[in-house]
Amino acid sequence: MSAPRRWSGLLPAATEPAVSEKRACPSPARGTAFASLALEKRTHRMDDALFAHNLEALESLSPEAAARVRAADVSGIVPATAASGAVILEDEGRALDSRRDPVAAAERLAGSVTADHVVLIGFGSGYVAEALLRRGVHVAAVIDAAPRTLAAAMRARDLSPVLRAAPIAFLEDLGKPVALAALRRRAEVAVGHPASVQSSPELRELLQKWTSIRVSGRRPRVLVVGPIYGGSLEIARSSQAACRSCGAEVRFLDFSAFSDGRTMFDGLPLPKAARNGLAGSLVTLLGDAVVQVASEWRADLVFALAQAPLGAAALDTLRERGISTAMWFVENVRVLSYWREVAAHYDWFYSIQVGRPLAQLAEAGAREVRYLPLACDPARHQPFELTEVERARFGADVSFAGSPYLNRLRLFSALADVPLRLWGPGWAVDPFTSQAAEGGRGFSLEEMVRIFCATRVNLNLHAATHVQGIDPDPDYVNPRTFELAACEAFQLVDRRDPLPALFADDEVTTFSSLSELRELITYYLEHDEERRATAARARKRALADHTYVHRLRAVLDEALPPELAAAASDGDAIGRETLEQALVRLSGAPVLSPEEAMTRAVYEIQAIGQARL
Amino acid sequence: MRRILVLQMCRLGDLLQTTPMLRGIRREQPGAEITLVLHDGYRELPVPRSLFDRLVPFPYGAILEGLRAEPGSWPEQVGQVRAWTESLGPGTFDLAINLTHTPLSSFLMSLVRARRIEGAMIAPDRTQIVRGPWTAYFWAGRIARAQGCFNLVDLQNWAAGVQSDAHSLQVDVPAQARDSMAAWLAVQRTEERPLIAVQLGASEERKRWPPECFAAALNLLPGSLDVVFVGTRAERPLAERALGRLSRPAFDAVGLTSLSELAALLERAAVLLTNDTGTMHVASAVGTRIVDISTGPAFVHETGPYGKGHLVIEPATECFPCIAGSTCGHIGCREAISPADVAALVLHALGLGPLPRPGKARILTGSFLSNGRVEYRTAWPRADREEHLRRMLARVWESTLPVPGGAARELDDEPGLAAGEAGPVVEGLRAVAAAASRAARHADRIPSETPGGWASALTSIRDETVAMRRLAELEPACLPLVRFLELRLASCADTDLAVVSSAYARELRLTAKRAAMLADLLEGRLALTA
Repeated sequence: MSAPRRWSGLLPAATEPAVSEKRACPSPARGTAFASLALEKRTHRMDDALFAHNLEALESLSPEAAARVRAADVSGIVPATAASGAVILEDEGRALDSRRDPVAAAERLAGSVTADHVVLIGFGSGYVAEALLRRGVHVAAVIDAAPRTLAAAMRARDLSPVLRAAPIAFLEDLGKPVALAALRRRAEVAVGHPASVQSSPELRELLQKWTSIRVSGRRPRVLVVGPIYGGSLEIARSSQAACRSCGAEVRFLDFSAFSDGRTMFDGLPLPKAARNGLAGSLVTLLGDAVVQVASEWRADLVFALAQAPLGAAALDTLRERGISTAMWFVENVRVLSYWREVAAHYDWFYSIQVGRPLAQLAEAGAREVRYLPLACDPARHQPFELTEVERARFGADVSFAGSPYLNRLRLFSALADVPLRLWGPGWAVDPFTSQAAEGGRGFSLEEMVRIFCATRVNLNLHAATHVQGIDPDPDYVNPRTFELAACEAFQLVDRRDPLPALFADDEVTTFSSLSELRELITYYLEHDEERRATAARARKRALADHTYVHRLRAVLDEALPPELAAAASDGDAIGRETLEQALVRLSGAPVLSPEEAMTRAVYEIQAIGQARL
Repeated sequence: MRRILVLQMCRLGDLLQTTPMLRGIRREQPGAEITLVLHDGYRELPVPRSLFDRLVPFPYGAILEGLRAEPGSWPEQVGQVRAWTESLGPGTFDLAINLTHTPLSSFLMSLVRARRIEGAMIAPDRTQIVRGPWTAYFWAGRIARAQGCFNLVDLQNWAAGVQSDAHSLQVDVPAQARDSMAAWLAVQRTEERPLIAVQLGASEERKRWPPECFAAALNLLPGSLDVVFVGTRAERPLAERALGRLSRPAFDAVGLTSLSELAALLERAAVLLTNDTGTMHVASAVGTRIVDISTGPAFVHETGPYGKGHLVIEPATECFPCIAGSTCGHIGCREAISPADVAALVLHALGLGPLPRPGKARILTGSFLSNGRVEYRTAWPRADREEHLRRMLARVWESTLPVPGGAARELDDEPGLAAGEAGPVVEGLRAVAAAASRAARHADRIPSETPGGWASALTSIRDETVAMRRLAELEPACLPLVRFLELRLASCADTDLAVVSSAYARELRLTAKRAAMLADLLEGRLALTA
């Protein structure tokens, strides 16, 4: 096959912006990689093994599409090699992705997408879908004209990560208005795969229809601020994902990298007051960063987790700038005390505790105090099919995974006759040396889920640093309760005041004394079915009522202005297409059209105007 | 009739710097119709009407207002851009020149129908490209600023294909404005004495010598001179700061004058003491001698006062001038210029004192060369290595790019550098020349190769270009040559194999020639044989 004798410049185009324009520009016209031509093509052997591997992935998420792909005729579509070495598809001689560098071209297109959730119209060789996912864009669905392109791509490239992440649908599946409406609810922006949209009038029409019908009011912008230290980082991560699922645009500020910086001051040869002052300066600095990001991005809500570096001054500045602030204090107010200094400066203060702590927060000046229990993240906490090796490594009749606080040390020392494994740093001390798993090391979240699932009876004793047994102030429920439930792992948990409102007796089993705990361990080790049934009910309840999405939905409903809260909850709201969305739509065209050039000119003026404001 | 479009969307100073180019088109292409595109914000147009035929304002302010009032109204604003496009008329322009280096102007240029385009635009494949060698030179200079050797005015002239005419900028000064300022001055003073106009502001902090320093310098001038502060209303706080430190009388016209009145007032001044500003270019246009304090990103060789005899004082600090887009936390360059030096320089400009000899600053003065372009040379201290290098680079560029009117003869006798100074630079340049030659040979063979051979040739060209970039990172003298090459190759938007490979080979050979020529000049060889 002879190569085309038409080509364009080989080196990256001029990208030096003017002095006043050093800001990020969403233009896909910026900075191409050093590209060269697709001068040589070679036929690739259709790889049946690869196809089977991809098909398995497709079946896991899109079984209906898998059935169609399995039966598809791929004649006329052949793989070829782009100049960059990447494999692309050619349909009757027409390349479905860039002949020069499909990865770079897809990156450019994906880089112009500002939405968090999109529908991709046209699959091609898969590079655009991959680029979108790499950039953290949630691809709610990929819609293609017919299964033949995907079937050919699945024979040429390993697409399993994409096929496991993005549902696939074909035009004929969308005949029912319900199906289309369901997809619209999941993504307000459609991104066109250039070659597919160019060659298929139906896809082109769908793309146009999407943007003309599927237009929405502005979505709320939520800035999630993670902790500088402590255990709330994972909760922050789950919270930001939940905000996104609620329909908000989300940015996450992860300050955990500064944890070492904070403790570094402890080692300085200075009086304690001076060291505290320095640590306070660090918090002030990071708080300024939050203020700048929130202001620059025009956040509607700053949602902070316990130990987020936000002081009173930063919070007041945010309020002056019209940005709402909320704190989810996922710690025990009896243990930490810094909340007294900041409670009055948040617009909303959420506590995981009930009773007296809520009153204490109000006394400290908090304006709106709410009880907001912890939750599970179904994407991370789920039943796990263990291999034999994993079962041997993580399994036990009875386990506890967590830190050795005083009350746990005392209680577990009284269980010397129980087949108990203790996971976590600090357990490899007398008298627990033989029970400490793997030398008393720490464990990751992935390992924690395996421990939960491999254990017959998980112990869940809430921490108390000041007592020798069960926590006498049982006014909150720890995250482990929800996580074990979501993992469908059986647990015995010490009795807590808020627990009956969260789980029924036949969903989570509680104890209130050492003797009761011993009896329950013995009973449930002998009653496998009852144990499994209880765990299954707990999982069902956790997913139904206690996910982070449930929690964040409640926060957004309260803390956002009504119209923005509605936009977050109702993804199908009808409004006007935004300028940015229009640009994304236009960017799907294969060449710069006059319409896009004019729209971009307006965008540039808007951006310059905003920068000056 | 030839139709020429000039897109100039920058500020006042840039607009005035466009006037020699418009004058050149008028002079050399008398029948051409010139369409000028500006922002719609100019209530008072400083460009003489005789220099263009049609004015088509771009509705920048109107669009911005519309978007601010109603962000969702963008479809209507796109309609305004469409209407603007239509107002350019149905025909095709013979030449369209983009003098603005922004994405906005690039998108607008992609909407203009023109047989030839000079300047930045968005190509159909959505990449931003730069058409024309002199505009590419300007863009390349943004990275290699210290090696910049041509004034923006001359670059614009050459981009339009017209010769620089050794004359300054132009501005309209209506008789009414002259009368008005004469009357205002008559009220201010009882006798006519030499007038020093002072412009305190500048577009950004880095370019602003502190008002307190201006005051300190003015306090050192004899009482036989009059001082008048000029500027816009927004610059009043600066004026207040200067007036608060002033121990001599001064007239205050800050915020009082229209643009025409400012020109009329500057016309009556003996000297303008200023930062790098639009006011400076107005003074240049009315022929008033300028003492320019150039700090931060202001760089006399690019945008210094266009004309003969103006004086510029700039810091002799290593980080000067700021690289485009950089930020600065210290602005230490402003401290290198002392009030005493500035006062002495003003007196020198008036013929009342010798040339000062500042310890931490340089003094440069401008003149026109034989090909009509302006050049700034160091008056104090002696020309340093950088100045020699800049002049040699200028000679290289003028010898290898099309200069209407030819290269300046004054550069022919520039001496080479001492062997110790030239050695490493020459070594780098020779390596660049060799790499560019090898790459050119690869480009040559593309049309006769098989597809497999094309790929191999392209890989080789890429490798050589990367090697050149690395050399340029080590030796700054190579940087403008390599950056220019990269821009030219990247802006080759043709789609025919033979045309593109030929363009590549040509650009690569020219790079080799430039690098070799500069190496020869540095070693003093070319000067001896010329």
